[in-house]
Amino acid sequence: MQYAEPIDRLIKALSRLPGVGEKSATRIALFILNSRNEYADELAASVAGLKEKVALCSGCMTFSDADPCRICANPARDAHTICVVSDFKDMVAIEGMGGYRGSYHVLHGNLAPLKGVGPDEIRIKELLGRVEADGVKEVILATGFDPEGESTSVYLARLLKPCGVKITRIASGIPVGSFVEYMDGATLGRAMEGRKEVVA
Amino acid sequence: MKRGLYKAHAVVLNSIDYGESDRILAFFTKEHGKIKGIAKGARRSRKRFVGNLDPLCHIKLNYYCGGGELARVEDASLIEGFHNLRTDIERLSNACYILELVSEMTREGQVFPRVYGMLAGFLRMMDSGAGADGCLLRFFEIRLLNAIGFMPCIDRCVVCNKPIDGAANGAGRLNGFSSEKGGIVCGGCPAGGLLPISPGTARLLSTATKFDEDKLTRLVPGAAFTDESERILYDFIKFQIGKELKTKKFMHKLKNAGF
Ligand SMILES: [Zn+2]
Ligand SMILES: [Zn+2]
Repeated sequence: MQYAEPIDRLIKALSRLPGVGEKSATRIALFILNSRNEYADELAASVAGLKEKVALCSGCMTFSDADPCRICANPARDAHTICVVSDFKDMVAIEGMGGYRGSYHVLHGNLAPLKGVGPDEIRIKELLGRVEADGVKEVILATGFDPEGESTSVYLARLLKPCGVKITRIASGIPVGSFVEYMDGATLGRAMEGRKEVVA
Repeated sequence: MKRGLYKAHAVVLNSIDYGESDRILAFFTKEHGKIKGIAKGARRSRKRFVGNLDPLCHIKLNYYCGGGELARVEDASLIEGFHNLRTDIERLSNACYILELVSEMTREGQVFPRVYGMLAGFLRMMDSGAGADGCLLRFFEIRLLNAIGFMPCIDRCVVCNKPIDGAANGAGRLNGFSSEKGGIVCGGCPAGGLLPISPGTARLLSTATKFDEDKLTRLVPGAAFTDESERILYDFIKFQIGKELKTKKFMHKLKNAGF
């Protein structure tokens, strides 16, 4: 059926969200339509404010409403250690783990031949600038283990090498809670490579 | 395709994250040519797919065809992972280039077992270190064009059909390559916008379609081959598909990165 134009417009806008198809978009739109006015206003205001108030931290390139961001501005965090992640979501995951006390660098993507994303389109230049300027001691490469994440980490390692900093890569291997017999050869190989001495 | 469960040998051409945890994939299969499918929960479930659905992976595939646009991927087991291609951006981009090329040059429903074999074979060669100079990519291009029926005419003039015999003038002289005409043009035929190609390059490309795949790395290209063949083949491919390839642009960006 044909919806009134404003509803149709909202459905179209919503269905561009990740994971939202036209059906869900319609459901969400009708939910908003049926909710109290205050809710719709608040929703609209928070969407409108988002792009205005949130920008990239000039240090670590993360999304932040302050510059520098809370992590870069926190004197208790170790600014000499930079954990490089592909995506804001990855930073949230590592931060959620709670044990990491260094700083971050968000690339906002990986090198991606099939998508045509080249080195100048992710935040590599900014990373190099930081490492060259800030007395950084260690760069932890925490991009993913898919081909794009892997090759991005190797590419970064190559670029960073002349800076003389310690470059490490997060370990990959058998996930916590799973079994050796179910692992594929590549995962097992990496787990074997990254083995550590057991201190008893 | 008829509804039902299918088994296939496949190379993963592309993979796009979709929704919360799904992936939309393109495969080139030995049995059914190019297919598009969705793997539900592929980013969450470690059990069924692990890393087997990343682009480049050579896999055994079970999928269900329900009559819709996308087949449903039931499970995938790895035949070859080509791990050396995943850790080096230059090699990865070369490998992705042949994936994109196959993806763009073929349509769903066209079955080309040879193309499947070529894909796996060339990825294997590249994984073991061949192809850094780009010649292997050119050989792949010409063999692909040949296998799918798009072979440009490179052993005689595409306009007058006369052989090119190395004469200094007239019909025996190789004048250049025309994507629009679909091959090389002799000195006796009128044609504009020709790209330069030497007789040696034309001959080597022609030979490269006839050699056994595993002997290709023995072919020794002349000095002009690398540049000439890259230019004419890419021009011809662009002419066929009507657009630039993302991986080609990527290679350009990589080369010209500002650091
Ligand atoms: Zn910051
Ligand atoms: Zn002619």
